[in-house]
Amino acid sequence: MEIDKSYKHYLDTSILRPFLFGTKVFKKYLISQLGRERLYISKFIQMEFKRSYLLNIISFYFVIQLSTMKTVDDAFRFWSNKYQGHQLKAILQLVGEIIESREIDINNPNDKPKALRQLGRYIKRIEYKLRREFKVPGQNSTRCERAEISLKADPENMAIGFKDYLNAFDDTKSCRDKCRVDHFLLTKFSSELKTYIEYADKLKKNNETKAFKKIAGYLKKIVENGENVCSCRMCGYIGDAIIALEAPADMRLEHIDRAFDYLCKPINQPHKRHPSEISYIKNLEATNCPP
Amino acid sequence: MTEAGIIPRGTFAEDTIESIPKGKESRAYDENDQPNTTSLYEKWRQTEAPFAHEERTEMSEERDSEGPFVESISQPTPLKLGPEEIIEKKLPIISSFMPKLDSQAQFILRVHYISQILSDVRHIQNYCGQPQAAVFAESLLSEMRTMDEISPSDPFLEILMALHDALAFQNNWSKYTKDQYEGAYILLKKFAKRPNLRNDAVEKAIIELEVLGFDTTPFEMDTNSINENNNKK
Repeated sequence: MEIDKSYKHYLDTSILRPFLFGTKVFKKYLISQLGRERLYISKFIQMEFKRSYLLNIISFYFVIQLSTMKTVDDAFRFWSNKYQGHQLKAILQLVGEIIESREIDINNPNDKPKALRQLGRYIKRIEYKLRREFKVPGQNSTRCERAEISLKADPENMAIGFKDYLNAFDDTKSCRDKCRVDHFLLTKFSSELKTYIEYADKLKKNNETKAFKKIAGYLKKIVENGENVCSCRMCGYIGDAIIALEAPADMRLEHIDRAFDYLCKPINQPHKRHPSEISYIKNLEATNCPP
Repeated sequence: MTEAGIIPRGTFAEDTIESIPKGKESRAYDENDQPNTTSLYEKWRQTEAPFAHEERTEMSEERDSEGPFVESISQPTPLKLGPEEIIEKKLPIISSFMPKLDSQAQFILRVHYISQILSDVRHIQNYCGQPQAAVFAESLLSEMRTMDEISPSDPFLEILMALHDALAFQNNWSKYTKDQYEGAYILLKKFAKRPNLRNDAVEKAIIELEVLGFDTTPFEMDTNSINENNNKK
């Protein structure tokens, strides 16, 4: 398969995730499609990735660290019984692999520090890769303060660094005070927002359009109520719209989510929807093609 | 190379690290990194200096009770800790009880282990694609883990364990090429020589490993657990 060299590739979080946590087969597919050289992400995408994945892994680190968890296995059981979301379950499997590679006995209380060390190093490594492997074009256009928080964890006491990081990330009030997402949406891209809202009204609700219509609904709320409804939580709902709007016009937005088909079209943003990891692997299995 | 084509292990020990810094002139450590005025190393050197004497005495309860300890599973009596004692006696380590080593002690341990690690990397490189590589892969991974147990707070371990994870996961050591092992050899040698590794150097080294093609985060997230219509909320 030829790498498309006519574009620089701007990765949405849905593509960034398999680049960092994907199966070997899917990573191979992505590299065959996009190469390794011209990959770009924005500060906002970095923030989305941290919020969706890195923070959960750090949370799991602290679950293992709890004095009530005698062994790593206790932490696994606790997490598995307590948290049900898809991403939270996925974290469990990921952490399992991280710990297994180090030949840690999850039932041995003496191996708990070893597991923490291994997991802590992995967290730091993911953060390094996020910052240094993917280029960031231009400015942090929404001035997202959460995206600017850096992880500084000393090898001798990683927990302190992780805790500071979580605290800073959770301080949404102070982050919102410094960000300019209201200006970004209500001034810089106000006409695009209106276009999205009108476009969504014309579309029938089905599986293809559902996600886009939901985003357009939140954008309508912002247009009607102004900056007061802008918050870190709201950015969680309309993140795809921000990513599409701040994507450089000379780059192709690479994504898996269907919503981008509708977010890119009205603003003439080049984009490509890739198959999801599950459907790609299912297709491979169906065609009996060795990975 | 011998007739059988096998390179004696440990051959590369001498060309790896020139010397352990001694005295004020060559001490490149940042003293501020160590808040204790008398380092563990100095204390240990003044009282025991195990590698200053060729003849070693057996560790016993009569020894001075000051200084750091390591607890042995089979031997309840606290033992005096010195890096060489750990290495030579092959004491079982319970990492949670490991005291913090000062940077000089860490460096001594690093020098000891890196020569064997580099030797193993070179051997795997020479036997790349051949079954014999497995012998050295096991030795390499095991040395890396042992070093992690003995000197866990050495920042060099972050680089070393990044390579460990790239090699250990799904036996990926068998998939990397001679050139990649050559790159890893040069990189480990270069960073092992720096007694005082800072965060940005560690970060740089890990990214260099990635550039060489080592996937330092090879672990996979279960695709069945990920919602296909991922809306990232």
